[in-house]
Amino acid sequence: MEKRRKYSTRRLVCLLFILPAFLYHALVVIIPSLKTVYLSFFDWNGISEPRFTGLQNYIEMFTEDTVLPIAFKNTMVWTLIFITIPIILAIFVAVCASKVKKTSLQMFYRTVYFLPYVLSASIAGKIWSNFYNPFYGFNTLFERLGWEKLSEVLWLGDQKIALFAVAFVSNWSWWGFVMVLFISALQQIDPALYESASIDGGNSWDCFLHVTLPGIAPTLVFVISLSLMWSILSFDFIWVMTMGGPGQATEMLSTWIYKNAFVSYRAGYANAICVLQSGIVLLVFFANQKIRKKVEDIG
Amino acid sequence: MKKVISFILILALAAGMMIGCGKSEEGAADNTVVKETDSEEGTDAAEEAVQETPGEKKKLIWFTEQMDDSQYAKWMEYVVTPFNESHPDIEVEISATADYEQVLKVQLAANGGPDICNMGGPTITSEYVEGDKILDLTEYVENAGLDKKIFKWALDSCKVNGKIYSVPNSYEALMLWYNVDMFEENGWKVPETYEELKTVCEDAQDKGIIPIAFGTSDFKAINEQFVGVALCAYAGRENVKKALNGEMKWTDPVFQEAITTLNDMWQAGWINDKKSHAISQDDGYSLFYNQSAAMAMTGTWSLGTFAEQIQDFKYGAVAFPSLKDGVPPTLCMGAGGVIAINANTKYPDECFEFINFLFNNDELQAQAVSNGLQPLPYDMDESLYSSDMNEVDKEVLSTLENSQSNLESAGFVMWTYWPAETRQYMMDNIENVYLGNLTVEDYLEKTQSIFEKEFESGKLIPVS
Repeated sequence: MEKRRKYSTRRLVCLLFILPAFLYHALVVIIPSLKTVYLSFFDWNGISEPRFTGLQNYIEMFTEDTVLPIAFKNTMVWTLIFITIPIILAIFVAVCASKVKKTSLQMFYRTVYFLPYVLSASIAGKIWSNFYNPFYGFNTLFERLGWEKLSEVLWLGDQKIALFAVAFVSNWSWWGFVMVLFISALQQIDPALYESASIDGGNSWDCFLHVTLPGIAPTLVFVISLSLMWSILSFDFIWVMTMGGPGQATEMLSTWIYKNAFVSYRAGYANAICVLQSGIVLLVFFANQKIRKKVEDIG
Repeated sequence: MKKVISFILILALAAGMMIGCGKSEEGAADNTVVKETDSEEGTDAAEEAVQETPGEKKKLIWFTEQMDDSQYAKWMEYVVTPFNESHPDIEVEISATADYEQVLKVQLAANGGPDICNMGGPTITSEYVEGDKILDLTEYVENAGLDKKIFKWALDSCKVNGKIYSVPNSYEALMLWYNVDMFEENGWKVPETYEELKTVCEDAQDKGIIPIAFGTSDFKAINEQFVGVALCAYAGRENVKKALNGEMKWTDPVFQEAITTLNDMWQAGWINDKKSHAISQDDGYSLFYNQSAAMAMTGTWSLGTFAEQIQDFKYGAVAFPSLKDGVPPTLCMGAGGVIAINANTKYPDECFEFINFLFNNDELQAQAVSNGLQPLPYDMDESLYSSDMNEVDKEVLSTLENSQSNLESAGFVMWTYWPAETRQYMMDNIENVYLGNLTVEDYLEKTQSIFEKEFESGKLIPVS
C-alpha cells in the first residue's frame, strides 16, 4: 500500500514537472491547431469577424480549386525527391568520409559538406537564383563550353524544370546535415562487426548491406520521417526563388496557403488547406511510426 | 563554493533576461529608431498607451514598409523630425519591417498594432474596414480641408461605402523608361503607338538588344504592371473604369484583345526576350542599367534608384504607347499606398495631426520629392523643387502633374483599384497565358467569376 502511494506521489511529481511544458505546448500548438480547424468552416479575411459557411471551404477545395491539385502533386514530387536523393547521397558520402582515417581531413570534409546548411534559405536561394540566371549564370559558362542546348535552358523559367531546379538547391542545403547524422550513426557501429564480416569472407558491399545498413537503420528511419514531414511543409526556397511560378509550376501546398491567407485575404479558406496539409503530415507520421516499430523489432 | 557560483550564475542570467526584455529608451530619444523593429513588441499601440505616464510625450508608432538607410534618413529629415520638433508633446517613431502588410494584418486583427499604419493600397483598407480595425477619417479630412487639397481621384480611391478611411500617402504611375543615348544612336523614335513600339522592339532584337527589361521570378506581383497597362492602353480608360464599376465584363472582346496583344508582345520576345519569368525583378532592371536592354517597365517609384544606378547614359520615361487606334498613350496611375489610423489608438487626434502635417508643409515636401521621395497627391508648386534636382525626375514629375489636368490618358494601376483576389489571380496566372497553359478566354472568364464574387461582397473601391 505504502509502495503504491509512493509510486502515485512520484507520478504526480513527474506530471507536475511536465505540466509547464504541456501548458506552453497547449497554448502555442494545440489551441491554435484546434482554432485552425474551427476557422476552416468560416469565410474570414483574417481581420474581421468570421462568417460561418459550414463545409463550403472544403467543397471549394475539392471541386473548384484548380491550383490545389497542382500544389498537391508538386508537394508529393518534392517529398519523393527529399526522401531519396539527399538520403542516398548522404549515406554514400558518410560511409566514404568515415573511412578517412585522418581526423582533421575527415573534419574538413564534414565541415565543407555541412556548410550550406548554415546558410539561410533566403541567402542560398538568392545565390542560386543568380547561378540560374540565363543572362549571366551557368548558361554563360555552358555557352562558352559550346554546350548550346544546355545554355538555352531556363532553369527557373521552364515549367518542366523549375521544381527540380529549386529542389536541387534545397537538397544542396539539406543533405550535409543528413550526412552528419549518418556519420554519427556510423560511429556507433561496433568495428568488431566489420572484422567478423570480413573474416566470414564478406566484401565491402556485403559489409554495407549486413553491418552498416542495419547499424544506421534507426537513424535512417528518423531521417526519412524528418524529411517527409519537413518536405510536405516546405516553403522557404520556393518562396525566395520562384514564388510558386512560373505559372503554378512550383506551387506547393504551403505557398498556396500563404497566398490565400495573405495576398487574397482568404484566411478561412487557407485554414481549410492547412487542415488538409496537416492531415497528410499526420498520415505520414503514423505510417512512419509503424515502420519505425518494425525496424526496432527487427533490430 | 558551488552554491555561490550557482547563485552568481542565476543572478547573471536573471539580469541578462531583464536587459533582453527591456526596451531601449536611448534609441527613441536620439531618434535612432530601430528600423527593423521587432514586429511583435515594437509596434503595439495598446502596449505603449499602458506605459504612458502623465507629463510624458505621446508616443505614436508609424508602421511602414521596409526601407533602406537613405530612405529612412529622408523620412526622418523631411517628415518625422520636423513634426516632432513642432509638436513638443508628441513623438512619432518610425517602425518598418519586411512583410509589413502581413505583420500589420496579424497585429490589427488582435486589436493591437501601431497607431498610424501605411498600407499597400486602397483596396486593402476595405478588408480592415470590414473588421472595424481602422478609423473613419471623413470628418478629420473635411475639417482639415484635405478633401479640397488632395486630388479627387486619389481621395475617392480611399473611400469605402462613401466614407474616407485612409489618405493616399503618395501617387505614382507606370512608365516606359528608355535609354536616350541608345535611341539616338539607333535613330529610334520614342514609341507612342503599337506600330512604333513594334518598330523599335524588332530593330532592337535584330541588333541583339533586349527590347524591354522585366523580371518576375522573385516577385510575381510585378506581373500586374503589364496586365494593367495592356488593359488600359488597349481598352482605354473608360472601358476599364466601367469594368471596375461592374458595368462591363472582363470577358468583353476588348479586354480579350488587350490580353491577346500583351501575350503577342511576350511571345515576340519584346518583354525581356521571353525570359521575364526566369529572372528576378532586380536582374531585370540590371539589364537596363548595363545597356543590354533598350527600355524597362517600372513605376515612378524607381526615380531615386535609377538616378543612383545609371551614370553611363541618359535615360527618360514616357507614358506607355497606345496599343490600339483611338486610345492615347497611357499613364497608369494610382496611390502608391495609403495611410490609416488604428481604431484602437489612444491618440486619434494626434495621429491625424501627423497626417495633416504631411500635407501642409509644401516646402519640406518639395525638398523631400527633390531628394527622391514619392510625391503626395496634391498640386505641388514646381518652383519649390530644389534647383539641383535631377532633370529626369523633374520631367517625370511634371508629366505626372500635367496628367492631372486631363485624366483622359490616365489609366488605373491594379494595386490601387483591383480587389485582392481578382488581382492575385490576374498577376499569378498571366504567366500561364504566356506559357500556353491557359487561353486568354479562360483567363478572363475566371477573372470575371472571381471579380463578380468580390463585387457582390462590396470589396471594391469607387473609381472616378
